[in-house]
Amino acid sequence: MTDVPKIFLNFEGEAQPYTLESYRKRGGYKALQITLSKLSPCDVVEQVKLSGLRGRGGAGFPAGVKWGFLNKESAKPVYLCCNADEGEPGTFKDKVILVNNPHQLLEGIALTAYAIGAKRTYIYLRGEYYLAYQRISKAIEEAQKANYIGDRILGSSFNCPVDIVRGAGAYICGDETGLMTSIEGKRGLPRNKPPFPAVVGLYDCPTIINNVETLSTVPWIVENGGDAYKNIGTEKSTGTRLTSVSGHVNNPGVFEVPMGYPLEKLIYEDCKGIRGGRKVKGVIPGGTSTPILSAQDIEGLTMDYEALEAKGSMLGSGATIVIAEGACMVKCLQNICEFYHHESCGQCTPCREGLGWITKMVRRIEKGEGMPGDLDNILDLTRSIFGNTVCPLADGAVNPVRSFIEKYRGEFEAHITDKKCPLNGNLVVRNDR
Amino acid sequence: MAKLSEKTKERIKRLKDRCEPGQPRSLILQVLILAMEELRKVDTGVLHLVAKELDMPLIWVKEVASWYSMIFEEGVGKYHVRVCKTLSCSLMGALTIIEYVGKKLNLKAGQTSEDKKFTFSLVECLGACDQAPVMQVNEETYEQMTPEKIDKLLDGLE
Repeated sequence: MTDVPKIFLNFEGEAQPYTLESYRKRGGYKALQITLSKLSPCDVVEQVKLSGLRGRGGAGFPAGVKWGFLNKESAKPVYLCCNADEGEPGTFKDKVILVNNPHQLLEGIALTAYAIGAKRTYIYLRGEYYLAYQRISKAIEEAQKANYIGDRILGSSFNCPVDIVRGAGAYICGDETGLMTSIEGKRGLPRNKPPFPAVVGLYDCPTIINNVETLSTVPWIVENGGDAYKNIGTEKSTGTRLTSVSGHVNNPGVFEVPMGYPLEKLIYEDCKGIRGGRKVKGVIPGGTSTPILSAQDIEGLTMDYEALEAKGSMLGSGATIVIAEGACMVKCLQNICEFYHHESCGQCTPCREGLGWITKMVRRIEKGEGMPGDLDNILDLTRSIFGNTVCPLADGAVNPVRSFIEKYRGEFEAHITDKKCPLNGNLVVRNDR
Repeated sequence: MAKLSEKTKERIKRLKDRCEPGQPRSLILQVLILAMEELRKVDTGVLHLVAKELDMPLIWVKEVASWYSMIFEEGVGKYHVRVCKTLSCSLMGALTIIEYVGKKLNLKAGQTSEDKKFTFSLVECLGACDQAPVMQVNEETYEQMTPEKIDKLLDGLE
């Protein structure tokens, strides 16, 4: 694994990596130049298909395949949307690209728009990312002036207008259909699928929505070839990925690792182990929507789609949250439940009412007012919720509920039986060095 | 009567110029965001203003303003103090920070001070989890917060 390239974090030591000058010096916009002078849109799609690139927003759907779903018979224009609404708790890796490497995203957008024949691109950026808004706005200005985006790019007949659409504090607008509905100027309520966005999307037109990291991978794939990308990582999980690590580690942050990277290496080497030298109690591998892994689960575990699935969890958004011994898992679950209940858009009864009810019960248990039968009630309720909603937010809430109760049931039962928290509701672990 | 500045009107014009033909409704949220930035409140008067500016039904504007959490119909104070309460920040002591800010400002979460100087809110994950605990004041983000840093920050706000 010695020669794994840095596809995203390729600007180490640069004082202002977000400028056009810096990006060009690193070889930026070369892929776009090659493409517009030598490659057809089909060529680009082929390379991305060959690369095996899977969506980095959380669902992990193969990007090239998604692009292939576009309704080519339609007389309607095609739209490209960049999902920069990064909101999955624990996730902050798209921010690094937006703030430090925005031109790589823009080049990826231009290449993708070319590949799919998009009329224009919208970058949907969460409202709370103020610095990212400044940086991407400036980058768009620079790229437009240098003719890398906008009209008749680099003298070709290809147009790629790019506009930023700002979010205003709604996690559900990170869902691809919620995102489109928000761009349309409405409440960001998700839509049923099918029809899929590639057939009926933004303004009822064929639309491709891709995550920031996914789009930012395209320049490297075009320049080096889909084969070269496929040679990194594992068979079904190709390439590198950005992982955001937070929680009880000594060195949290964003790391670029090849798929198949050992999770323990990430935690104990890159993140310099657990605060206060404590033991791991649990690791949420891909954002709070993914089932939690116990200390035993992470032994020998590699970070790729197949391995996480085999353990009953998911790679998700690549947000790793580490929880050490000493933290109360009931309180953690309460925190997570409150998030999903708060962020529910409200349109589906199982989510709106069900998550509210579960949250109430978990709160009671945490306070020491749990009743026997509560846990079974909660699990029973999850069965009425999972798979019965328009979008996967509710599923994402059910995953932690089920996995926390399954793996830490003793702790929940102690709260109920003893009518108090054995850890006094503690979540914090000191870093006594 | 609410009025928008020339600068904001200019920004709205640019949005209109860039808007996809036949899709004026798309501007509702974007204009509300600009109105919120300038006026710090999106009450009924502002809703009417936006509806008129975009020639949209008032209800379309109202339904958007009432749903997005960063649009405040009751308005916010001069300084909107927002502390993250989600998991990663909580694992790093957010609850202590929340208590401290509340006590210091003498406000419960969701309240605005009498003199309208401060609004105190609890918010969900701000995407800065490696620098937890995190808070924002207006458009600035503050990381690795401690009671001392909070004192310095809030005491320094005019």
